[in-house]
Amino acid sequence: MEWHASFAPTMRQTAWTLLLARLGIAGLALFYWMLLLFAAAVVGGLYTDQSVDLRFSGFVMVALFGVASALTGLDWAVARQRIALRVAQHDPDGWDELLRRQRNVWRMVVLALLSAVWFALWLSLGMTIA
Amino acid sequence: MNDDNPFQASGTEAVVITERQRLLHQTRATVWASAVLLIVPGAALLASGVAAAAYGTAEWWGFAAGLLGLMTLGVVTQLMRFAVAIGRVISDPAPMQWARMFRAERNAWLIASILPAFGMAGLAIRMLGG
Repeated sequence: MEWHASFAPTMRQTAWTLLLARLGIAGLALFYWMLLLFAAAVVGGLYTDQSVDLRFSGFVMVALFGVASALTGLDWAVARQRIALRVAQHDPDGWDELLRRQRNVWRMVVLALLSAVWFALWLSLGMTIA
Repeated sequence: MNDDNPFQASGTEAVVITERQRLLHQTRATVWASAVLLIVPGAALLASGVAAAAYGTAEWWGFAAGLLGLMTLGVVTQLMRFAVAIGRVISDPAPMQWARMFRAERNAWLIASILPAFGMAGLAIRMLGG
């Protein structure tokens, strides 16, 4: 199985990707849960100077995308190690599951990144104009 | 199923292979779209930071906007490299191409996970009245 011998470094890369993904997902989860808490605090009236306006809707949008991304990523990170093992054991279905989850997690991450950066841009422009 | 190559098959397995390639095509399309869409806010954030510095009105958020713009463009670069690596796997599913694709994905994860962490720090400073 020469091909699998040469594929071993890729499996090690997968292990590194898994570690980085877990760190990244932990960061995403912290960031977006904080946004959700902030949104809840606005609703609860803790920040009385913050009216429920466009800014609030932006927070909710970013937070929802972020939490969905974190959950999808968590699902992927947990499954990936198991899938990599299946691929190494020549399980043909392992490849499909690996690629399907890879597609799904990147879709969610992209939505979260886009919403976060656009919102940061909106805040930045707002501060610049102010 | 040919264990030596996840794309090589014969007869009825051709359907499975088509599904596998379809998943890779979808991932590549997602990554390309996100890279293109992120260019706009990345460039705008960078321009905002540069403008704030050029007009002598740079406060901490002007610097932060420029840095966030640079990081966003860094994410764009890594996403593009990832998309190109996926395309190479589609056209040539050799072990080296798979390894390159997973390596590109690891790099994209690395920089994409820094971005929300940076945003989290900025938001925390704002919420604490910085």
